[in-house]
This record gives sequence, structure tokens and C-alpha cells, in this order.
Amino acid sequence: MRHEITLHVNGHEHRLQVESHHTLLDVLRRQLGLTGTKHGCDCGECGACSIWLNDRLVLSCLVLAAEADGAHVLTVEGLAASGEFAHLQEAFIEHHGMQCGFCTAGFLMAAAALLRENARPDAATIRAALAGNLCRCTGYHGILRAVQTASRMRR
Amino acid sequence: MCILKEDGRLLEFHFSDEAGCLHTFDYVRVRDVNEAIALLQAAPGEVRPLAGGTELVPALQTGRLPVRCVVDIKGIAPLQELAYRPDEGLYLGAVVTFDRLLAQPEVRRLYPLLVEAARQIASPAVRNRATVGGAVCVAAAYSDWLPALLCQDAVGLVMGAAERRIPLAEFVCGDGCTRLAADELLVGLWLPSPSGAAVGSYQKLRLGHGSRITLVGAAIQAHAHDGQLQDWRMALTAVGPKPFRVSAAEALLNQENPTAAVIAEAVLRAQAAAAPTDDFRAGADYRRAMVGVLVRRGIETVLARVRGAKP
Amino acid sequence: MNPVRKTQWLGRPFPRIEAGLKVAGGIRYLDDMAFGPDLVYAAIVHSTRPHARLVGVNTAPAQALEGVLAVLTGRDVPGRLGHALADRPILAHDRVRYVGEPVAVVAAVSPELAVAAAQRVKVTYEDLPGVFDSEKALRPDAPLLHPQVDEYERRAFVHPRAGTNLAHVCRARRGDMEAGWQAASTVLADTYRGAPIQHASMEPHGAVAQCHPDGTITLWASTQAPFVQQATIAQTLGLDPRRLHVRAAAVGGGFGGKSFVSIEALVVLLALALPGRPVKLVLQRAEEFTTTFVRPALLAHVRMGADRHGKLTALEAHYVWDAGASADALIELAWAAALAGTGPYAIPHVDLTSSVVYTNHTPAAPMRGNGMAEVHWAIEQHMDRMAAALGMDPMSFRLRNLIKGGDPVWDGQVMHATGLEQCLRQVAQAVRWQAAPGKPSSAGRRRGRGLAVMWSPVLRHMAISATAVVRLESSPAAEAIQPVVVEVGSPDTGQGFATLVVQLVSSLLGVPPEWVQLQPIDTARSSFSGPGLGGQLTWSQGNAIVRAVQDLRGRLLSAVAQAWDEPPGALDIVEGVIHSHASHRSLSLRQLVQEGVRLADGSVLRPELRGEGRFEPTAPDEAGDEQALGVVHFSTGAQAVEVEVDLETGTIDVLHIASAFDVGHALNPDLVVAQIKGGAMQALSATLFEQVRRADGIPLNVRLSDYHLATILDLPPTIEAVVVEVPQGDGPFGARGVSDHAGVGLAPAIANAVAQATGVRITAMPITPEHVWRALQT
Repeated sequence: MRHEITLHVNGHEHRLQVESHHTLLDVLRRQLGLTGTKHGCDCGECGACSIWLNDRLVLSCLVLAAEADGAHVLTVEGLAASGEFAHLQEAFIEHHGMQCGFCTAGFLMAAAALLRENARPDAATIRAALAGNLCRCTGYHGILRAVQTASRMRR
Repeated sequence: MCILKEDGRLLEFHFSDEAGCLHTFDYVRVRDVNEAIALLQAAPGEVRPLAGGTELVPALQTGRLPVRCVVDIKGIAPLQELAYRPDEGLYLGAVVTFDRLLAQPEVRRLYPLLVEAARQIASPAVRNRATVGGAVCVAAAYSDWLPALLCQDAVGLVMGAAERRIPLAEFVCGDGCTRLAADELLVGLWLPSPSGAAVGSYQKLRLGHGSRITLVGAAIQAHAHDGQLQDWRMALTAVGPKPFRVSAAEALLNQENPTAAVIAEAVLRAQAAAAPTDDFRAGADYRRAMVGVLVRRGIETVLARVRGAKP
Repeated sequence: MNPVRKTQWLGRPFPRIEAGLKVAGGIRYLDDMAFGPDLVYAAIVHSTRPHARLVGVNTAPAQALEGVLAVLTGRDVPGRLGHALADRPILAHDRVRYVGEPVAVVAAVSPELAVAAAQRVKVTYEDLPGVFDSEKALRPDAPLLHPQVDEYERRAFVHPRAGTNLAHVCRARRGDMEAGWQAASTVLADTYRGAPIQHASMEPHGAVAQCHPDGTITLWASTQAPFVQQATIAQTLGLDPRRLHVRAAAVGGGFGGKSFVSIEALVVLLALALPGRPVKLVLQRAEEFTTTFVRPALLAHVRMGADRHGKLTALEAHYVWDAGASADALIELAWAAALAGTGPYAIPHVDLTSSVVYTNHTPAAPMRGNGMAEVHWAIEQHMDRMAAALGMDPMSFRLRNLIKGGDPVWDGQVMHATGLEQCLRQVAQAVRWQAAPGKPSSAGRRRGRGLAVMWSPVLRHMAISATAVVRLESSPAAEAIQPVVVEVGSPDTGQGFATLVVQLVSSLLGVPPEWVQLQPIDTARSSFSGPGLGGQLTWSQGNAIVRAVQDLRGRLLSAVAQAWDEPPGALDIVEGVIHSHASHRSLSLRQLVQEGVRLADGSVLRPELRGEGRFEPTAPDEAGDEQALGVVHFSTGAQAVEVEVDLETGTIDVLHIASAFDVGHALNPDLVVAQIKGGAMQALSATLFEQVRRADGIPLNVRLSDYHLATILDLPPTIEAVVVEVPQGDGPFGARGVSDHAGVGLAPAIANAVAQATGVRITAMPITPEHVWRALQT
């Protein structure tokens, strides 16, 4: 079934035709071309599709697009464009918080969600906040250090 | 993904159902409980309520569910209610998300076991979406949420042709199975006020620290009155077709001072109540042994927490 | 020629060139690329049986769906895939050999429709007895998977045994075993098991193919080895390889799982069936576990002898690899296991056999380390047990036997200089090996430390050859940048190879790094490169690049030297400008590209703006000799850990990982450290958690949650990397690879630490809590 929905994505309003079974991830990637958000598993177990939905961290593969009608969405592209978390992005580069980069967007969205609520998280809090995101390359150490560094830099 | 069993033997592996549905379901958002129930009644079994979607949405993607319509119930105001009244207890609307639950001051103060268990569910992004009612209806045999709820004597409030109040212990009847009829909706959970200052501990064993799958879980709660612990509750998960209370162990702890010998006997009773099976995640004997370890640690942790220590 | 030893951007940290794009979501992986409205989506019909005769495949119900454009079955596709041993049908022919094997493939106008159509294909099976264990597969009465294996096309170094499930066996021997056992005062034998695990790159396999009007076919793939895919697919389908252009997309992790052909031939077939339309296939996670590749399970029988001074005298080992239904991807791994199956020790009498065995499991392919993690799991545990039997400290025992530069390896070959001992000493120091064990965090827990050394061979065959082209392109006058275009044949799969290329070219040529532009890989244009196996890209491809830059630099400088009438040795290139030390004249590369250089007679000389480099250490020897695939060099290293074990539950917390690797020369120390730490954590995950679990060939844990990869919660509080640098004689600036080796010693180090903490020895991977608990009960 088709639905017409409105999405506010990275500050831009979109009117979209979506099918009932389309996930928010499908729509972001296929219709809006926002391919920074990745499809890594099919069931909310890898974290690669993490985005913000109405300012909350969610997995876009677990949300039907129709459910998100009227919602505000932030993806990694919007996070990067805003510059608000440039210090976090820079810390990921400095500490090699990525290798292949496939998981990076998800980690950035999760880490940014943490830093927004807790400007000075301790290591255990950072680990807990990133526990839903899988990375097969870095071994997480660079990611942990990047988030620690970003929290010290402050915005 | 399913594995067919015949005489306990694995027969076949399916990537998805042979029928292969063509994603023809509709999505409807409703604001009113009666509207939702009317939809459920229109085509029982083919209309599914959608709350957080963390289980349902991926299942829909496989085209495996014979679903014609999903009814989004998140917008129904009464289902969003999260309220504590000292005389009545805690009311959790079915669509309250775990992150909201964890942020609620009374929940944090009065229901420490709920908080400890909820914090260990899946991942932060999932907890921002998954709901307290949804996790009950999913009724996973290894649920982290059900044992904590069972220890509160939670009751499910169900609406359909008639209103029903079903104690949680009855509501869930097996792995993935509930007493909810296809045309009924779980609208909320009612948790009586604790009988004293609740002290709890959720002990959980998994493969790795970040593993989503609980191999064995033990929820323990007691209530302090003037430094005395009363009204012990104990529930186990992943050691039977559904999470369950261990009344034999509770009775013992309620009768006797929890000396080492009493704890050892409570452990034996918990192990006797457990009915684990062998599967690829763990062997039954290991699970039964771990029930013993986790129950003992849970009781000791509760005792230590009452003494003010923080193990 | 002008000797080039400039190292401006080498040997020091240099940021990853694509990092800025990656933190902005701007890198396009296969599934992110746009292919226009004509794009067609594919889905696989999988075998649901581990071993069965294919009675019938009814595609009619699928074809009846509107929007389904093609359904292909094995009837449409004769031939078998394989780059060393052609033993894998693209689509099952007359029988299926594993659950997940492609039986048919569907193309439709939407991904949902493709999946639905695939579900409608009716496959009729007649079950055959299966074989699910490599040892049982070798019994005389075992059901055969490939009764005609000896008739399959194969390379000369593949040795199948007709009428058995033995797809390949190779052997390496030296000395006299009888003498070795005679000299031993202690002999110990045991069997070790490595589990099948999955590469589980975060990006699933994906490929798109399109057949163009001129008959050429483009294959875009998430691949580690575009040239291997081109050659293998073209050969199987009987295509002229020049018709098939493989373009490598950005790769979201591979670890060996994308080094061979997996799904790519399927989309090429569909593209041939649907000319003009691009056809795309991206796997679901469950298919990754069943349809692509797994790391092979290993059964290792080890018998080791040492004299009473603690000197090893003899080693006999049989490594039995569970290939699943196809052995093609394991041939070189089996050779590596035979030729490096001693571990890094000087042992006079050695007899090593490596067997690759068919079973009704998902085909196996090497995963990070080319079999070395599995081999060392056995050898390095056995070393600790030998030490215990001899009453020696495990470190002292190793130090007494470590191979050193100059020690003999195989016939006529001696070990090159190595920092192995330094690696061992460094990691032992890091975990305070000599000190008493740390106090556990609570009662009922015990701490232990363990260490392991490793080596890993680069084989002559794996190194096949690498080539590179570096050229200057003309640019618009207004541009400040003079493009220096580099063509190589191996993709960066995340390890940072592209960054290294930029460092090498800019340093050697004498241009700013931002001038260097790496061409996307296209087999139609790019320089050929063998597969990036065995962590040897830095060495093989790096050498080719050095030579290409030298070639280009030589051409440029000799032209200018001729024009200026100066010796080429007087000239240098700094920041993109050619200077003369002698005459103090200068000429920018931009000017040279645009105008050439004027000779004394007024004519203009335009040097060729292109340099080529080729690196081929030794010609591949394909003689029938079983030891034909010699070792070119070894990488070495050591790892040590401290663990704490919960004696009641068997749960293991790894508290400290220290890794040291001899990388020859760290061209980019930050990238080296990132590889070492990342490799260690990947190995931790494999050691403690991972196993593709099956019951009679039926996979049980095909979700990430059921399989479990290490998360950030499993990261030890302390993880450190030590870089040891004993130069590689023929490496670029002395460098050799590290990425593949970074996890090789970790599993036995953990097992050794668990043994020290608890007294129990876990010989089968993974070391799960239940596994430890069971061992503690006996």
C-alpha cells in the first residue's frame, strides 16, 4: 500500500510516496540518496543504520517509513553538514576510529547522541552507549579514544 | 528463517517461508483503542499491532508473516501513560519505551530490579524504540524483561471483546506464545506497589559482554522492612519454555534467615524448578548449573545491597 | 638512474586519505552506487539440503509473477568455478552439496519481488547421505562429494585423490624423523580443533553486472581481488577475459571473504541474459553465513619431541582442513600450513602434511592469516605443554627454539633476519611475564597470563606479481594541482593501502601528497595485481609502486638533464619543482607537462610522462613437485595476554593484550598500530565467541545476535601494540605486511593464559564459558 508522508530530513522537508513495507532506511537510501546510513544486517543487530529520529537514536531498519510521517530525521550527512559534531568527526580521524568505514556513520550517530546528553562521559558510559554498534576492523580502541577525545574537546 | 523438527531431528533449513508473501500489507495509524480493536477484529490473525517494531518490522521484511495490515498503536494516548500512584502502584502503558521507563524517577527509586533488567535489554538504540508491552507480547524464552516483571506480580490489562486482567505468569504461555487472542490488545501493565523498600538484583550470563542472547538469567527481589528482608521473589529466564517464578525457593527464603545453608537450599530448589534444554547456545546441564551460581549470587547481592555495600 | 631514497612522508603518521569522506558518510560502497532506472535486482534460490540429488527445479511459479525478468538454473550454466581447482558450479548442476548453495537465481524489477519470486521456485530433492566432519570424510566408506575430482581442471600444484574426499594434499619434510624421535627425551602428541567462523565484514557481499551493446560486460563488485574474479569468471563462462571488466567499489571489509568469486558470477550470468540492464545482488546477513565463505575448521594432529635441554628435535603434524563443498580457495592456505606448520622454530626433523577435505558444509576460504591463526592455535598451545612436561618456563622454552636469521628452513633456504625474539621479549615485558600473577578482582576468579609467537609465510604463488603505473596528466592552467595519477590493481579494503600509496608516490616523486590521485580499479585499465592475500600488499604492490615512480622520475630527470646539459644526478624534484644543485635552475612539473623542456637548439623535448613498475620476486613454479610453492619470506610476531577467569561460570575477561610484530619498517606507524590492535580484537572475538554452528550440515546461528561478534564491551582495559623493525631486504624501504598477521598468536595466548589461571587446557575453539566450565568439572 502506498502512503504519502512528510519527512524532515537534515533540515529539509520532503514529501514522499512510500510503500507500507519500506523501512526508514530504505527510503533514506533509495529515495533520498542518503547512502551514508548503511544496511549491515536485516534486523537491528549491527548498528550500521543508526540515525536520529526526533532527536532519539534509533535503528532505521527497525522503523517503517510510514511510522515516521511528520518526523525529524538526522543522518550522518546532516550531522556532518551541521558542523555541530566536527570535533567528534575529527577525533575519529585522528584516532583511526575507522578502517573500512562501513560502520562509521552508525558509531558517529550513537556517539553524538551520547555526547549531547552527557558532555563528559566516562569510559564505561561510552562503552555502554556504543554497545549496539559492531565494528569488525578497528577493535573499538580507536573509537573509544576518539569519543573520549571529543568529550574533552567540548564544543 | 526456520528449522523444521520432526522427532526432534532437524530436517530442513529455510531462508524464508516457502509461500513468499508479496509485502501487500497495509499500515494504519490509530489514535484510539477501540479503533485498534475494531481493526484487529475485522480480520483476526491477519492484523498485527505495531508498537516499537523492533521485532515486528524485521519479521515483516522477510515476507514471512501472513499479515494484511499492521496497526500502529504508538499514538494511542492511554497506551503511553506512565504513572505511579502510591496506593495503586505503577501503571505502564503498553507503548512506553524502555528509555522512558529508565528515565522515570519513581521507577528508578522504587523498582530497582526493573531498572537493572531494562538497562541490559538489547542496545541503546533498540531501548529508545522497544516498548514494555511489546517485549511482553514477544514473550521470548530468554527475555530479560519478563523475569523482572514477574517479580513485581505484574498484571496485563487486555482489551478486546471484553476487558481482561491477566497475571503475567499466565499471560505468557511459552516461547513466543501468549494468551492474547488475535483480536485483543495488551494495553498496559499494572505493577502493584512494592510491599516495602524493594532491593533487587538481575544476574545474567551470556557468551560475551555485549551478547544479545541471555544464556541464563535470574531475577531476585526482596523487600526491606526495618532492615529485615521479607517477601522474596525469584524468577528465572532461558531455562524453560518461558520465564517463571520459583515459588518453592521464595517460600524458603520467606521462612528462614538467609544463612549460607538456606541459600544453598534455595539454589537447589531453583535448579529443581529449571527445565533447560540443550540447544546450540548452551547445554542443559550447564544452564542448570548456572541457575545455581546466578541465584546464589543474586541472593548474596540483594543481602549486600541491603547492608549498604555495592557489589 | 638517480637513486631514490627519499622518505619525506614515510615512516611517520599520515592521516588516512579517505577519512574525511568516511566520517561524512560520503564513501560509496557497492550498494550505495546509482545505476539508473533500468536496474534489476537479483535473489538466490538456495539449497535447503546439505547433500541431495536435484530431481527438479520448477521455475514456472516464479516466472509467472509480473516483473520477473529471468530465472536461471544450473541447466543454463555448465562449467565450474575455480582459480586453482575448478570444483564449484555457479548454480548447482545435478546435486546440491551444502545448505545455502545457489540452485537458481532470479532477476526482477524490485528487490522485494526478486525475493518473493525466489521463494516460489520449487526445488525437488532426493536426499543423499551427507558428511559433516573432515575425519569421517576421509574414511573409505564416506559418501563422496566430487567423485570425479581428479578430472576437474586444476593447477599443477593441486593434488586431489581420485575416489576420495581428499581435494588436495601437500607435504613438507626435512631431516630424519626416526633420528628426531630418538633424540627426544619428551614426546607429546595431541589433537587441536579450530572452529568454522565467518569473515563477517560489516558490508555484505554485493555485485552489479551489465552487458553493454558492444558485447563487453562490466562487473562492479565489493572485492579484494578484481583480477582473480575477472580471470576465474571469464574462464568458467568461456568469455574472452577482455570482454569482462571488473571494477572494484569501495570495500566495507573483506578479511579474505572477498578474495575469490562468490556471488559475482551470478550477476554476470543474469547480465548476459538481460543485455543492457544492470543487475544487482546484495546478500542478506543470513546468506553471508551460508552462501559465501567461512574460515575452515581445522583438525590438527601434532606430535612434538624435545631433548632434555629443551631443544626441539622433531615435529610431525597433520593439518586437516574442512573445505566444505569447494576446496578451490584453500589450496594456497594448505600449502602455507605445510610450509609454515612448524611455527617459528628451528626443528631439525619435520614431517608436515596438510589435507583439504570435502564435506557438506559451506565452502571455506582463508580468513585473515591464511590458515596461520588455526595452525598456531595448535602449535603454540603444544609448546606450552611441552614446556610444562620439560619443567621449563614457556618463554624460556620458546627462546631456546626460536628460529633465527641464518637457520635452515626448507631445502637450500635459510631464514632471513627477523625481530621475532625482540617481539617475544617486548610482549612478555608488557604483561609483566616474570612477575607474580595479579590479584583477581574477587574470590572465585583466577588470573593467568599466556603468550604465543607466530610466523606467517608469503608464498611464491600468492605473490604472483604486482604492477603499478604512475603518470602525470595535464591539467587546466588555472589549477594549482598537477595531477599524479596512480594505477594499481589491489583495492584498499580498509587497512589503509590507498594512504600508503599516496605516501610512497609523493615522497619518492617529490610532490605534495594532495597531487596524488589513485585511480579507481578497473581491470580494463588498471595494472594487474595478484590477490591481496597473506598481508603482502605493502611489500608486493609497494615495490611495484616504488619501481613505477623510479621509472617516471628517471624519464623526467634525464630529459631535463639532457636539456640543461647537466648530469641527472645534479637534479632533484622538491614539492613538484625540478631543481639543479649544480646550476640552480628550476622547472616546475606543471610547466614540464604543459610545455616540455627546451633544448639548447631551441627544439622542445617532451619526456614520456608515464612510469611503470613490476614486482615479481620469483617466477611461479608450477612443476609437479609438492614443495614447489616456496616461501618468499616470513612475517613474525608475538602476542601476550592477561586474563581473569570466573571459575564458577567459565567466563573469561581479557584484561590486557600486548602485540608486537616485526613489520620491517613502519611506513605509516599509525596505520600499523591500527592494524595490530584491530587484528587482535578480531582474533579475540574468534577465540572466545565465534563458531558457525551446525547440526548435520544445517546452520543454526545465521544471525549476528546468535553468532556474536565482540562488541566494545569486550574490549580489554589495556590493549597495546609494539612495532618492531628489522628491515625486509626486498621490501619497499624495508617494509613488509602486517594486516593479516595481527591476530595469529592471540588465540593460543588466551588458551595458555586460561590454562595458567585454571589448570585446564581448552584444545577446541572457541573458548566459551561453557567450554571452560565443562573442562573444570572433570
